[in-house]
Amino acid sequence: MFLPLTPLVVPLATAVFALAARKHRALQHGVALVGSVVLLGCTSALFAHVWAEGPVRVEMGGWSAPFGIIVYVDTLSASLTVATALVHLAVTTSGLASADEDRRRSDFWPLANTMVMGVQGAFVTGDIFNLYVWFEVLLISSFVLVAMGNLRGQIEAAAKYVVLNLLSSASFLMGIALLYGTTGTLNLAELSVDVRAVESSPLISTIAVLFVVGFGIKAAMFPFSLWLPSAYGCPPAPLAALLAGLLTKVGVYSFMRTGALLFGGVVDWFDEALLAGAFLSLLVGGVGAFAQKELRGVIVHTVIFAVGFMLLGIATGTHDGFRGTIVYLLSDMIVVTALLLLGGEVERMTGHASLRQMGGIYAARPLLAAGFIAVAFSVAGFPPLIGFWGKVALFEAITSVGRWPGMLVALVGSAVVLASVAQAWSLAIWRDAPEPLVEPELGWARALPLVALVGLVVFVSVVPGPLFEVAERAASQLVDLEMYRQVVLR
Amino acid sequence: METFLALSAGTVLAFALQALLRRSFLRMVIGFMLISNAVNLIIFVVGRLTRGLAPIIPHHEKVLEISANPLPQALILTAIVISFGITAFTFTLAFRVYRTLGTLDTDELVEAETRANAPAPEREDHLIA
Repeated sequence: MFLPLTPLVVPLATAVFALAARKHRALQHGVALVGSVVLLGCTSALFAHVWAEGPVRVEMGGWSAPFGIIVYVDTLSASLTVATALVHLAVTTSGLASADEDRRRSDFWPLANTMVMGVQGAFVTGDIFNLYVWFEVLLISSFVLVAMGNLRGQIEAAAKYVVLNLLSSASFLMGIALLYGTTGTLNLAELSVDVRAVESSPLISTIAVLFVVGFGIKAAMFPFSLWLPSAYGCPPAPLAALLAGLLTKVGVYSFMRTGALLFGGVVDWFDEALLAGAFLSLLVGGVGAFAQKELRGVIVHTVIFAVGFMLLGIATGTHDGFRGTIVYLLSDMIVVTALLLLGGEVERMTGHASLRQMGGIYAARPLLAAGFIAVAFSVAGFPPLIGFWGKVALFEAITSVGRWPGMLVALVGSAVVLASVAQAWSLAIWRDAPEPLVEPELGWARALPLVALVGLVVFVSVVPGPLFEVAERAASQLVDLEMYRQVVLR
Repeated sequence: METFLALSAGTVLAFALQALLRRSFLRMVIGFMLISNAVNLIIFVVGRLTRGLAPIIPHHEKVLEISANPLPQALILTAIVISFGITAFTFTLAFRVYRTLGTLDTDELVEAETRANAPAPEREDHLIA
């Protein structure tokens, strides 16, 4: 069974070939493009297989579970690998169009692909230590990517990003050590049984603290989100889109997986901690977005806000909550990528980063302006866009477990985010240009990924049914621990 | 022995956190090196400690004598390799921070927050890695 491994093998092969073709720009670009197209094809095939046949697992190196490392792909993992491949393809196409601007971009392609491999690995692994290893794979690639280009802001952002994320890894690894010492296994399926048999709840509680800190930094849950604004604010737009589309999502996914398998119903404060983190992220993300003077700043703060929303669903610990989070997670990967790419085009066209100096996009490029408003208002949860449907699903889940305050905080946060994207829209796009656009041309290579992403966002907004169907099944499989164990340990 | 190693891990961790809280970026890097060593010690203790016993079941027997679990030691090897690579990167980054920003004092690293996207006055001409 080779298909479940393609999300790992394809980006690795692409990275190797892109590295080998480093001196031949055209060849390298061809490799990058082909690699991301093949990745999308393979992950779609994997998703179709999992959709038709149910979850699959592969024993790495022929070592049977629970002793070897397991690759486990259920509907959640498969849909996330497809979304990752979509983000990767869009960013690759968009990055290729702007690659001539900076000669250092030749290093971009191998690193972007190793990072995507790390992300995909985190999504498909069924082994907690292996999850740590994939975290490190994606981190070391993203460290270099954030710093690449050597702008002052980037070096600074990288310093903060590196320190906080290393702390997160150390915390997570410490948690894994204690977990192994307590249960004697690293296999998630076996752990899901063994943590429930452990008598010493303070020990499991300690492990949960270490995991929450580790994943909280990765997911950018406030108060662990302080690395995010500069790390996503400083790199070039395609790279920021890749980072924002994928990295925090891995943290959210880890919360979801460990919440369902290990801590939900075992550690009594786990839900409350996530709920508190969700509240703070919603408010800080919203207010942060409102306070920004730069377009990119507004966008990156909405990433923190979106993380708050996803955590709300996980904090309910119910099937409905997970379903809402999965809808939001899948759509947010596409939406945030589109928003950052669009924001990058606005920056490039106006030649400015600050909202005060931008403007005139609506007059010069009405379609780009329309795409921006569709995506930005989806982030804010404006009906009938997809962000709204995700929020409705989450609200249903929150209120059904009686967490009314969560809904109020989320509504307040949404209102503030709506105000801030409306302000950004009117300043950066709608009003007349304070000065003429420096670069009004878009070009088809830049336009193509934008059209595809915005088209996808509009499509799932109009027809949210299939996405909800996927999320429904993904959530059912996520909370069905018995099935997880049967598939992995059969 | 377990107690001694556990206490050492705690001590190293305390020093690591102290170094991580310093303002100098270089000290933070050292703090990170210490913290990964502390974590490795924890994994090591977790795997039980025995002397002079290989975790191999003898030829005519079915049960393994109580010996150290080899798996955590394999995990440590993985973690050491990872932290080795990351330490090398962070030292390069520390060097780059100093070359680009002229300081290692993290209190002065505020530019990214205040003017995140402002174009740099001049680009440095060397690659990072």
